[in-house]
Amino acid sequence: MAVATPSGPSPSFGSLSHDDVAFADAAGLQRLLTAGKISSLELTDLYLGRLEKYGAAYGAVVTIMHDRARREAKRADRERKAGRVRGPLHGIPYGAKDLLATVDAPTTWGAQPYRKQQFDFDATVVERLHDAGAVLLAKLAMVELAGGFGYNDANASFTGPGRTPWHRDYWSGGSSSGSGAAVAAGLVGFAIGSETSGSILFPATSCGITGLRPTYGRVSRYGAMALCWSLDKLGPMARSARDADAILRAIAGSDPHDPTAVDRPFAAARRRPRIGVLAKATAKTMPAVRKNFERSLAVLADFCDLTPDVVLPDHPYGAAVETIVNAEGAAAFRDLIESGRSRELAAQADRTGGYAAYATLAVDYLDAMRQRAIMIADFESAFGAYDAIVSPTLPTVAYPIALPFDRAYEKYPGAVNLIAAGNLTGTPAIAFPNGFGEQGLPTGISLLGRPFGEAKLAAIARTYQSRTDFHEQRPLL
Amino acid sequence: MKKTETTSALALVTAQSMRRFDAKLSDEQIQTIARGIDEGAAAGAKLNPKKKRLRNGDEPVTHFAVRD
Repeated sequence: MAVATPSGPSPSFGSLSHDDVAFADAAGLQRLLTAGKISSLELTDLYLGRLEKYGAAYGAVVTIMHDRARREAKRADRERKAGRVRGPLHGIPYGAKDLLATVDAPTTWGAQPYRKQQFDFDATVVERLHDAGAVLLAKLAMVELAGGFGYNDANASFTGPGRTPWHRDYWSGGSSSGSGAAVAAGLVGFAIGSETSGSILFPATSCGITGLRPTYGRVSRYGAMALCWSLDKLGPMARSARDADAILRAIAGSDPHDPTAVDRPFAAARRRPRIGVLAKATAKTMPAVRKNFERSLAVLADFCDLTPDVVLPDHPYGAAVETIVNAEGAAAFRDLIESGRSRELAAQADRTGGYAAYATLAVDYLDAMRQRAIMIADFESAFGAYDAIVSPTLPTVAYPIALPFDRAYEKYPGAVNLIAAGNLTGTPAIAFPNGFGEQGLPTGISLLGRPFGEAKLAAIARTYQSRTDFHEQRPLL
Repeated sequence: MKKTETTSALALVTAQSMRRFDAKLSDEQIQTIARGIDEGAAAGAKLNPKKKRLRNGDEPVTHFAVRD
């Protein structure tokens, strides 16, 4: 495991080293701001420097927004001085996946054909974070078109492969590859990612951070690149579950620009949550994933009621996701496909994947959506009285960058089915680190919840993190 | 999904038709597209295993909304 040792006291922050500050979670940073030990501008400059130093090396950043960041930081400091603190994110610097529209930087969608794309408005999520006092530092790298054209290797962005800070020869995961790497490397206080099917949970796990995929409809997608209207979600990627919860509360809610976005309360967790353990969850996982999962269950058992061997309804989740993403993605990028500009994409598979998706049969798409209605109803019944279903997030550690995905871990094929099932049913999930495995790479655990049950998931993860320190480990950059 | 070794004639013809969008697609890329089309069709076939799951009255989620 590559863990950094403290780099010594820094004259700028008293007894705290730069690393202590850079790797603190947003709640910890807020304590420093409140105590006057650091200003938002100092914090912003610290992160801007780290983004300059490490951002490209980890394939994590597209555009660093110096002017906007310093402007927003000064505003936050001014308001704090005047006694106005907007909330837990006031003055906290963050990065946004580069599929969120912003006025002050191009919005590239990670793809060469859109490299100069410029919007004249901020996405709703960016606006809400601005209103919460957060400071936008950078647009973060991502897999081109959020992976909609079927990429099969890590080199699938014009910024190059995202690299997990735990081992630069391994992928940071996709498609929120830069968001994952930037949070794990202490380049931002937190980040926003997006998930159509796995794009928050996967990089959160590969990078050893906490990722929260909200319920479909919890967060407005206005201003975000559309890949798949019926699956796309935006959510927090952070260094702790408490941060993820605070960030989600700041960005959630209805929006006249997105008819799917709704206002729903955040239901509190019960004192002793009920968790179902997915049957055969570790049947096809790496040994370290299995061992760490079993240890995690022991931690959870201290404060939750666990029921083993919970079986979820048997449905063709993977096939349905594939069909829906192909059909909706081909429609969303019809202009790109018909222009022939797919040839400009970075990944070989993406240069042809759009054409194959374009040929998806309408009857298959509709059958997938018919199956989906059945899946949602079955899932609701199967969930029973549980607050969450738990499983390893991924069967392996991060993928090596040098190999195509389908050759990376041939002994451990496929993914845990909860990612496809959870996305199809629109249910929330939280992924957080639970140890380390091969090559010192992090492993992760996921809790899948009921619709709009994010606060319960975050509360469970937060208690888990109060009893473990995997989320506090720092990679040696 | 497991890659198929050969492509169907229908997939190949459909793949070739994509040259209307990009005349420079190579023969190798056409083969890759054809494989992708076959894989998509295979996914479609898996949606209704044994033709049991879907009945005539099962409606699609045309306006998706979660239940809670």
